[in-house]
Parts: sequence; structure tokens; C-alpha cells
Amino acid sequence: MKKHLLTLLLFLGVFSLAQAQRSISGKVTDAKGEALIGASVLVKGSTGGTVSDVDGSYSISVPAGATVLVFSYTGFNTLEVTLGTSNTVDVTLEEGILLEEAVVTALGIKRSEKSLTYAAQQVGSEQLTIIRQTNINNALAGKIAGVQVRSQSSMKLNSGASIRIRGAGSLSDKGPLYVIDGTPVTNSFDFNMDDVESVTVLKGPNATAIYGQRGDAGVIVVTTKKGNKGKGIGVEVNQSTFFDRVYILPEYQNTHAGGGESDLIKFTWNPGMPADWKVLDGKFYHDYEDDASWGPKMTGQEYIPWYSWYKSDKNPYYMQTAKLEGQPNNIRDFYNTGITTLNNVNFKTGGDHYNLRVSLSNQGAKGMLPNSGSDKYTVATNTNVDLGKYISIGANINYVTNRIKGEFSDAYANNSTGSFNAWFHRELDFNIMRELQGMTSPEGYLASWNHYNPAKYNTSPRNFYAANYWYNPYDYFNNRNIITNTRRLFGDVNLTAKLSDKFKVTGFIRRNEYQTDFEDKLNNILQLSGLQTGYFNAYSTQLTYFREDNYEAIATYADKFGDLSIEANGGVNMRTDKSKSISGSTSQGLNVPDLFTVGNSKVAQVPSESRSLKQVNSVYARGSFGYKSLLFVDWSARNDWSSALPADANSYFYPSLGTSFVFSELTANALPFLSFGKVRASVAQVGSDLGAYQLDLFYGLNANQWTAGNFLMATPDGLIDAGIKPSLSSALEIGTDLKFFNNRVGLSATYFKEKKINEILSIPITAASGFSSKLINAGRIDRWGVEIALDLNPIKTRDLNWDVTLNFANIDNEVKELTAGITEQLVGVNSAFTGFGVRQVNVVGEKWGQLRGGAIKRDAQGRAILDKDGLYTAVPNQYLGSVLPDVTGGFVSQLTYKNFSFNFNIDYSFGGKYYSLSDAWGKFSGLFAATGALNDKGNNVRDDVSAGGGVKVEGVNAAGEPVTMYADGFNYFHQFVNRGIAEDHLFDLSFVKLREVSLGYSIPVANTSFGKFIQGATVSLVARNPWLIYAQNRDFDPSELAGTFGENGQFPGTRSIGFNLKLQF
Amino acid sequence: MKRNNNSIFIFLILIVSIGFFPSCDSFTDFGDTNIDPNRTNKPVTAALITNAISGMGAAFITEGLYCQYFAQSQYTDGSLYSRVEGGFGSYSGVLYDLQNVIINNTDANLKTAALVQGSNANQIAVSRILKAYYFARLTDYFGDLPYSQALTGEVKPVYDTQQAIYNGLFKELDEAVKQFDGGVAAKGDILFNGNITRWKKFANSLRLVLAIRISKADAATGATQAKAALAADGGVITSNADNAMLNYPGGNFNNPWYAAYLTRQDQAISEIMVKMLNERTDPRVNSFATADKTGKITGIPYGLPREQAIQFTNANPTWSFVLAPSFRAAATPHAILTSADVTLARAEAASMGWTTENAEQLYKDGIKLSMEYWKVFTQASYDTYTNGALVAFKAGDNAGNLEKIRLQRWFTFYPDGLQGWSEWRRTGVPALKPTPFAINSSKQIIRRYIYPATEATLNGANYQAAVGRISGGDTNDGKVWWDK
Repeated sequence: MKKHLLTLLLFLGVFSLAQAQRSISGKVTDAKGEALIGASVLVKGSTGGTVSDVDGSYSISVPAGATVLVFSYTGFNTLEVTLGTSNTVDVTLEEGILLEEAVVTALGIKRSEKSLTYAAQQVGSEQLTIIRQTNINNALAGKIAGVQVRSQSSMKLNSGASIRIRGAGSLSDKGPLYVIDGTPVTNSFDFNMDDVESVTVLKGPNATAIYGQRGDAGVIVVTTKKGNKGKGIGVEVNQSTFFDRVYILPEYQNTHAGGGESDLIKFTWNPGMPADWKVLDGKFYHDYEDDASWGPKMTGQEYIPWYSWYKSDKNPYYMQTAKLEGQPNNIRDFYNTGITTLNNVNFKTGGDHYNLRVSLSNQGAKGMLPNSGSDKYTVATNTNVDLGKYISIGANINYVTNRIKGEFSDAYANNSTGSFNAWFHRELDFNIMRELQGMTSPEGYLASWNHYNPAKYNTSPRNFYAANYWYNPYDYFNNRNIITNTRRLFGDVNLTAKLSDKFKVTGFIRRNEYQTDFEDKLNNILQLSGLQTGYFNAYSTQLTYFREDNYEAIATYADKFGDLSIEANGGVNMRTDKSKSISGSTSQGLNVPDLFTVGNSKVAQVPSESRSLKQVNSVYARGSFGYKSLLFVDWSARNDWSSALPADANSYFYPSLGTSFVFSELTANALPFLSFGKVRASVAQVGSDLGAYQLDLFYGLNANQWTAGNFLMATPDGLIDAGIKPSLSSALEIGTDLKFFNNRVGLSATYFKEKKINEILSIPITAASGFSSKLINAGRIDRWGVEIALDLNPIKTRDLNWDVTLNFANIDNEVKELTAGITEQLVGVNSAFTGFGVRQVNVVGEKWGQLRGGAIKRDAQGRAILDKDGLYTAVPNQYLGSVLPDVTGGFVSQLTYKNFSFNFNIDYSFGGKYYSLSDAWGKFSGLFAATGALNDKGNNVRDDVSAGGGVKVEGVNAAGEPVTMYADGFNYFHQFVNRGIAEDHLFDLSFVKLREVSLGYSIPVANTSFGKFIQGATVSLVARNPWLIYAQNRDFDPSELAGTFGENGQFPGTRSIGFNLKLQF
Repeated sequence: MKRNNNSIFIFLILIVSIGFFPSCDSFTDFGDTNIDPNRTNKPVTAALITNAISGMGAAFITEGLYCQYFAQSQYTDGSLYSRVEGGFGSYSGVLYDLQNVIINNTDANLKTAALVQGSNANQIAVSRILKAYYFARLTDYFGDLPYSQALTGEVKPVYDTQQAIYNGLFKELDEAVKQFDGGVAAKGDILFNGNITRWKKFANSLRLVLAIRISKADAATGATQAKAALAADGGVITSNADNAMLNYPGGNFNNPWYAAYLTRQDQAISEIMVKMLNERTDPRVNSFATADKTGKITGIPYGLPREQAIQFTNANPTWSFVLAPSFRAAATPHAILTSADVTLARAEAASMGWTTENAEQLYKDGIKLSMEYWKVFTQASYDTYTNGALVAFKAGDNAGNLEKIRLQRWFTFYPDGLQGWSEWRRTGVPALKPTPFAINSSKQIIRRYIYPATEATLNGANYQAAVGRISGGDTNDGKVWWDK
């Protein structure tokens, strides 16, 4: 068959040669100098034509008398060129106004959208940088159908957003693969958005099959900007400054002070106490030592504040009383205004045989938390040089250094939110806390709002002055220095041999390597000043090194035979992942205070180390056949061999096949309003393996010996199923892409169904088996859904243009099968508080990611069953919702009027639930608004029930009779933790959020005296997260949950306002 | 142009370029790449034994709240009976380590390699004793548990009844004592340092204590096992020199009470404990708690709600920690089972008529051993104490004397809250009252731990079957089998 085809192709070629009378050749590129492959070159008025080849070159035989060549490429404006005497015609095509139809697909191949057989949504730099996000995942939020972005509070300088493409397609919650100019990069952080030309999100196996195992959760293909010869000297400068303020905070009660004692306590001086204290004899204080807020009602009465007791030069309030009042803004006052600056300067140039771009960036942040900040430098270069006619050589080299300082824990009991939302006193004034930071008692103990009550002074000054559970948070952060330095190098060098006009072979050596150097120093004064805080003077350090190398060779072939176009790639790839780390930390304090070395540990510690190696080899091929512009067939095949799989079963193969039919080619006359229409369908598989060293029971050694020679070894807790096989996802996808009214309306719709079998997974099993988990090939999970993207260009005049993109996705899934006898997979628990929190489980026959926990016991009619105190009874282990939203999407609007532009982006999500541990503790500790609210009688819920207080509860009594009662406030809000009821702390995950807004003005420099030097200048005012339009519970930002299940103490939502200046020379 | 021929070249070059890559073998065969360089796949059985023994020390603070040894100074929810759930971590932890030692000394392919760590029989015997110890600890929390099918890799092990488990433990302890051979003792033995006689004494003593624990549920078996334990080879622990003590080296491995007070200071001896000791002029009170500068010991009233606890500690800032400082230093040996515990157990067995030993003598011997252990023995204080009306035997009052033995056992187990709580659950001695401020629905003292919440998910059917056998369901109010 192949032989016949070849013969046919050869014949066609000879035929076209025979007609030649004059030969014209040249190159077709886009505005950035990128070769356009497969651009159509026609002789006007004749049927003779050709297409551009793999590097955009073409050669055409022109009949005598022909005067005009027509160059066209889908998504670009058609260009007619009148032939002169020269036989070389190079053209640059300009992209069409509305839609970028040339899509960067797998392996970085730029293809016309019509030939794609699957959904691949591309976002160009304009949409990506409505505001200059510091992270690609945030920049994608709301812009791609079927992509769910879970951002993080910008307070966490080290943390980006996690991204889920097409919901959960595997039992483990896998993230996508990032590929930057062909190089896989594990971290979405370390490239600068200013260098990004476009991002294509490849969603299902149909699109990602060629990336193999690591692409099974989707691939984000990033194409960076390249050099070209443009106007001016080719320099661009970009400067942005953002100011970050706290936006979303829980609502707190402001009626009751701290402590566990509901009355003020009278201070009685005794002779064991400092004589100064006599002045306070008979005055009142609230309980300082209990770190909740079940204290006295605040009515402005006189009291002794926590700081009054510390005799210090820094303390103007020594032995003074104050008015006991609520501090509604105290938490907001704690946080600094964060300042983020982004600076970029880039240089580019290009010529006939080379192009070059160098980009330098600096991103600095002064954090919102005390003692936090970051400083990142990025160098990105790419170069491509033709060495004569057949060989070209290129290099993409990126080097990033990043220094991040600060502690960004938003886990339970962290020293900012973990305190403010769980254990705190509501009367605390942060202006005073800030003023008194660093203040100590005469003995040198840091002053704390949570010290013991004065009688404790008689046991020792330290027992009174030092922090019981919590320090002044400023003191904590100022005395804890955590620094992570990362250095990353990634990129490739490549050599292309162009063996003919139709065929080239490129070899790549790709590397992604990084080193991190982590240090954590905790000052001795914290150990000295803490009673039950658990902190020791400590040092820990870790050095890690990771390197991924890919050796890749890829052959590319493109040709056209009459109406038939062919394009194919074949490739080989060898990948090694290598890592090594060494870490050490001290234990139970330091011998020499504040000498930060591991060797200075009070209890001798042995550093620990770890190293690993994994190798995967692959052979793959893909290709595409096109008939006219009408019908396309796409295929791919890949085989991987992985070192992490059993030696006798380490090979796995997976193919894909797809087709697209551009029916608008046939309906152009009948349906003139339909500018473009196609239907597409594809089927694909993707295989996947597992991490290194998981196939045997490997015993680790406890680095610390009991006594010399008596060392400890524990049996690993993970059981391994014999005969682990590679996993396989199979997917079917159909869709349509339609454009109407001269491309001013575009609609893309996709339905997909994917089945994943044999996923390699460590699933929890009952510890009674002797193991806590088992590595298995888990049965099957299916997902399916609809994705719709609508592009509109409702207004298009010379001065005014408005583009709108709407995305919508409705995705569902079902866990079909786990393994023999196991129908539920425990994914995780929200925290250590298993008794009253939630667990996330996957259950056969149900949607992925269920939350389970204690619910309120109800009768058949759903009425709560109340005990005689008006409290609930718990029913453990109930289904409380899924963590997955039903519907996700976004809305992007880009409006330009003359030199002004106004862009914004809304992200939305409906359905799903999350659990809030902050809500659980915030109520338990009397901090959240509900614990100081008024009941329907207008009395505070904390007031005695007999005095008209209490929380109104409705339900049925033990006899089943409907009752309305008032439960004691303290007991009501403690029952959820004490009786194991999670239900009260579950909230709807739905939200609508205005993520990005920018208002820009392009200064018309061309008409000014600067016009000679400056090609363009744009200023913009930008806002990030300006408005959480909708959320059921506004105490937290549901779009920024710290964990899949919800949150344990997460940072507040933040809002940034800033400006941006862009100059082009 | 010569493109006509290119089509053929294209395919030739494609094939050649693929051939450029390494030969098929090295492309698909990765050799030792997947062998973990950081860990070994060959367990060292002695190190597994050391690891298992290292886990024997625990402070059992929560359990000590339930039997009112201790009181909380600040957050009192535990002593007010907030919901408590147990864990199965010891199955996949220490218990499987011990099972693994047994496998490595039993499997024909492995047992020769294991010989370097001691004779197969001795390693197995030690592991069986330790397994019995840990299983007893576990079942006393929950009642029925996976036992016969546990530790086999079976992901759905059935729950055996507590009665079956106890019978299994008696059998294990009996067989283990007989299994020791004359070969090299098990290495890694940080409990008895290879002294097989002491292992036998420990096993027999443990068997005696377990036999008495089922006195109400199955007295006949209890009596049989108690007698067999006393008659078994090696006998039981009779002197403090033979106590099962975990000798902490300090540093990375510390006495659990040292560890508890290292970062916390909210546990106190309970007022009721202090009161009961003082009523009897018990000299041990000075070892059981930390006195203030004036030598005074102040317990915190048990089970106060938060507000009242704050009021109490404000009024009594010098309230007493659990144990005198010398008994909770980093390297203080931690008692697993002592001669006093065993001697008083013998007294109870005799008093119940299970043996013909002299209950009163054993009772007094046990008290003496305990005072010696706590380093407070003087003949005078011993005499005063044992002659006191609340301590001394009263002729003819068998029931009263039995109760006194049981009360002494409760004192003697201090601060081992698990044993104290278990003895109280079995005997109702002392007559503890639940705190009037209880926050649980039943307002009763916690009787058992709720199974780990994960069991309903991971081993649902067997879990449900076990729950069906507990009256009141899987709650803190259900009772284990021996708790009648």
C-alpha cells in the first residue's frame, strides 16, 4: 500500500515539474518570524499551487504570463504579491483580527486549526497578560473551557495555583505537564509571563497522547517569544507595581473578650509579686492564659491589658489600665501591604539566517506577612542560526534564581491565620501589638498576649511572662527566618538537518535542573519565651538537586500532492530523572544559643540523604493527512519503556486516531453566513507508569540508634500487589468548531468521554492487614463532559473593537471499580482532627472526591434530633458532598477604543463543597461572628438561656415531637468538635469572581518628538482579584482553597491594585 | 529541483535515524536502576525487634484521665468525655514488625539468613510475647478486633471476639515460653538484653494479669490461665530487679513523661488521687506528683469545666505535675510491668479462690515492692500504711479485702493510665463518679474507644459485624467483653 502511494506521489511531483516555466522561491513567515508550515501559495488565475514546507520555504513553478502570487494561511490575512523580476519572494502574513487559528500543538508544531481533530484551546499573550500575573496558572483562570484553577492567596509567595483539566480523570489528583518550547518543566513558576507568546492547553489523551505518560492529566504547551527583525532597535521595557491588601477575611464577633472565664477577674497583689504591681491591686483583668475568646462582655469597662504587666523601656503602658473594647479590624491591621514589582527588559533582533531574543526579568515582593519577601531573576534567551543551507542550530536557555523568605504555612495552628481563626482574643489591638514587638520582661521573656494569669508569677516570673501557647505574632515571625534559594536551568540546544525541502531531522538535548537550598532558623528567644508553644531554638537545612534530561531526535516530513497533504513526525526520546537531597535538623534545642549548625543540636542528629534515578525511553510517531482543506486524518503511536515498572512488563504502547471534516468548504455558497465549520472526532489512549522504587519492600533505617549497636528498622507500611501493570486512559472526543459572520462569532463545542483503567495507585487499607496502604492497579474511573467556548466580536469599527470570550464546561465522573473487594478509597483526611473533621474518599459508583464526616442525626423528615440540652447527636461517616464543581468557566472581555483598552476576566464555578477547619475552631473558640450574634429575641447567644440568650435550635426531641429550644451558646458551639459533627463546617464551593481588570492607554508617541526613538508606550492601571462577586460563605475565598478538601487555616483572600508601563524602542 | 527523489530518501533517513539510537536491549533493559539506593530490601530482624520494643513506652495520659489519675489544668474537654476515637497504627507498625521477624525466622528461604540475629526459636518466642503484649493493649481499647486474619496482608480481615483474642493470647504466651531454645538469644533486645529467664517471667506475668482481666467474663478460663501462668517455666516477676522496664537512653529516645512535659504543662495529678493517697498516709504521693517549693502537693479537681479550672489554677498556681521530677527525667526507665503489679495480681487471684496462695501476704508484699519501686519504703511508713484501717485486711471480710487488693492494684499501676482505666472498668474499684460537667450525651465515663473512622470505609462488612456485637454500637459508651 505504502509503495503504491509513493509511486503516486512521485508521479504527481514529476507532473507538476513538467509544467514549470519560471521558478519562484521564498519563505512564508508570520509577524514574529515564525515559519508558517503548509501555507498555500497559488498563482492567481490558475490552478497551479504549492504549500510551504517545514521551515516555511516554498518553491513554485509559475507559468509564463502569471503576475500575481496569492499567499494564504488559515487564521491569517491573505496576501497578494505582484511578481517582479526577482525569483525570490519572501512574505510575512499578518494574523487575522479575531481568532488565532494557528495553534501550537504537541511537539510545538504549529498547525492550522482546521486540521485539528481534538479540542485545543490557545490563549495568546494579550489575553494572558490582561494583568501581568506572576504565575501561568493564575493567568489561565477562566480563560479555557474545562480548566479549573485553584489559586492560592497571594500572601503565599511560594505558592501558585493548582490546575485541574477536565475535572478529575484519575483517582489521584494529578496536575498537568508543562512544556516550554518542548522542554518539560515540573514547576509552573519559573518562567516569566513576559516571555510567553502563547499557551495552548491540550486537554484529553487525544491531544496529549504524543507526550506519553506524563501528559495524561493534560499538557500546557508554552511557546515563548522569538526574536525577529522589526521596526526600531528591538528593545522592550515593562514595569509593573502591585499593591496587595487583605480582602476576604472571616467575620468575627466583637462583643466578648479573650479567655475561658466569662467574668473579669479581680487582681489581688501578694508579697511574692513585684512591688510595682500594687497599683493594680483590686483592678480587673480578663483570663489571659486560655487562648479562646469566651471571655467577658466588652462594654468599654476598665481592665488590665496583657501588655500592662511588662516593665520595659519600650512600654509606655506599664501598670496602666485600658478600656475593654472590641477591635473589629484587628486582623486586617496585622497584615502589611504587600508590594510586588515586575521588571522586564528584552532585546530582539533577527535576519535572514538568524534570530535572537534575550529577556531579563526581576520580580520582587515585599510580603504581606512580617519578615517575608521574594526576589526572582530570570534570564531567557533563544537563538536560532542557519549554518548554510542544510543545517541550523538553536538554543533556548533559561536561568532563574529565586530567593523566597518567610513562613507561608496556612495549616492548622500557624502563627497568623491559624491563630486568628482558631485561638485568639478578640480585644487585641494590633497597633499596640505592632508597637510593642520585641518588648521583653525584665528577665528577657518576650511579651505575649497569651501569658498566664498573675498568680502564676509566684511560681516563677517566666511562668507568668512567657507565652502560654502564642507569642505576639510579630515576634514570632521576626524570630523565625526561613529562606529558600532556588536556581533553575532549563532549555535545550538543538540541531536541525534539513535534508530536503520536505524533510528535516532535529536532535535535541533538553535539560531541566534545579537546586534548592533551604534554611530555617528559629531564634533562642522564642524557646526562652514559650511555655507550651512547642518551639525550640532550632536550625534545619536541606539541599536538593534535581535534573531531568531528555535526549530526543525527531524527524519531520511534510509534502503535498495535489489535493493531498501529508505531514508526519517520528521520534525517539530517552529521559532520565535524577535527584539527590541532603538534609539535617536539630532536636530539642541548641547547645550554643543561636549558633545555627546541625552539629550544635542539643540531641545529636544525623543528617539524612536521599537519591533516586528513573529512566523512561520512548519511540513515537504521529502524522496527519489532509484532503484539500476538507478532510484531515490524524494519528499517533507511542511506546514507552520505564525503569520503574517490573523488568518483564516495562513496555507499553498507546495509539490515537482522529479526523476533522471542514464542511464549510462545501457550504460556502449555500450558507454564506457560515465562515467556517468543521466537525471532529478522535479516539486515543495514554499509558502511565509510577515513581521509582515502588515495586519492592524497601526498609529504611532510623538514623538514630537506641544505644550503640541497637539500631531501629521498621517494616514499610505499603504492601505491593504483585504484577503491577502500566495504566491506560482511553478517550473518545467529538466536537465542532463554527465561525459565523465573517469570523465575528466563533463557537467551539466538545464532548468527551474518558476511561482510565489500571491506574497505579497506593490505596489505604485497614492497618489490621499489617500495612496501611497497598500499591495496586486500580480498576477504572470514567469522566465525561461538555466544553463550550464562544468567541464574539460584537463591535468592530476603525476606532472601537470589542472581543468577548465565554467558556463553559460541565464535567462529571464516576469511580467504576477499584480492586477486588475494595469499594472505597480513602484519599485523605483534612487534618489530624479525624474525630470531627472530614475524610476525602472515592467510592465505587459515585463521583470522585467525596467528603465524609459526622452529620447531624435527623429523623425521616430531615428534622434534627435534639437532646434535652438542645444539642445534636452525631451520625458518623456520612456523605457531605463532592469536592468537584459541576460547572466551571469564565468570561473574558477585551475592549479597545482608539488608544484606550479596557479588559477584564471573570471566573466562575458552581457546585461542589469544601470543609473549613477554621470555621470549626473559629466557632469552638468563640471568635467567629456567630458566637457573638443576637438570637431572634435580640439577645446575645452567649447570654444565659434563662435570661433570653442561647442559640435558637429547631428539631424534634427524643420522642419525635417538634421542639424549638435555646441551647447554651458555649455548649452549642463546642458540640461540633466534642461530638464529631463536621456538617456545620461544610460550605458551597460555588463562586463568581472578577479576577483581572486592566485599563490601558497607548500613548501616541509616533506623533511626538520621541517618535524617532520610541515605537510604542502603554500605561495601564490593573487590578487582581478586585471583586468576589458571589460566594455562599464570604469568610473564605472558595477560589483560593489551600487543600482539595477545603482549608485548615488558610490565608485571607487578597486584592491587588497596580500599574504597568510598557515601552518599546 | 530534485524534490522528486526526496520522498524515498525521507523514509530511508527516518529508518536510519531511528537505527542511530542505542540497540534495543539497552533501550528496554534498565538493569539495577529500580533498586532503591537509600534503603535495603533485606530486613534486619534484630533492628525490627528493637523498633518493636521501643514502642512499649507510652504515657497513656488520656486513659489516665478516665480513671482519674490525672486532671487537666486548661483545656478540660478530654476529662469531660469529648468523643474519643482509637487508632490501628500499631498493627502496621510494631505488630507487623514482630510478625515480620516471625516470618523471617520461619520461612524456609529466609530463616538461615536470620540466624545471625539469634536462634530462630528465640527470635520467634520474643516476638510472640511482644505481639501478645501489644494485642492485649489494643483489644482493651476496643473489644473485638481483627486477630486471626490480621497481619497477613488480608485487606478485609474479620473481627474476632475479644474472648477469642484473649484465648489466642494465652496460647501464644504459653507456647512462646516453651519455645525458647538453648541457642543464641535474640539480638536487638533492649528490654532484657538477651536474658531469656526474664522474658519467661515477663510472659508468665503478663499472662497472669490478662487472666485476671477476664475474671468477670470467663472466670473459669481466667483461673486456669492464672494457675498455668504461675506454674509455667521461669515463674513470674517477684522482685523489682526483674521488672520489665524500658531503659531509655535519653536524647532521641526519652521517657514518655519527660517527652510529655517537654512542650506541655497542662497535666496534673488529680485531686481525688492525692486525697486517696493522703487519706491512707501513702508515702508514694511524693513520688507520684511534683511538690511545690514548700513540699506541698496540690491535685487539680478532676473534670472541671474550663471556667472553673481557670478559677482553680488562679487560686492554686502551684498545682502539681504528674510524677516527681526524678521519675520523669529523659533517661528514667519506664515501667511496663513490675513485681508489685504482679504480686498484687497474685493476691487478687488468691482472694478470688483461684489459687491457694496467701492473699494477705501477697497484698502486703505487693505494697512493699511498690514502695520500694517508688523509693519511699521505710519500715515505719510501710507499717503505718499497711496497718491503716483503709488498707489493712479485715478478717472475715472477703469482699472488702478483695476490694482493697483491687484498689491497691489501681494505685500500683499509676501512672499507667491504660492499666488503671482497664482495672477500673473491670472491677469498678475505686468507685469513680463521672464528672458532673460531662459533655457527652450519656454523661458517663468513657468505656471504650471508637474504632478508627477509616474502618467503616476500609473494612466495612467486618467492621459492621463487630459493631453489631457491641450493645450501644460503636460508641464510647459500649463495653468490651471483659467489662461486665
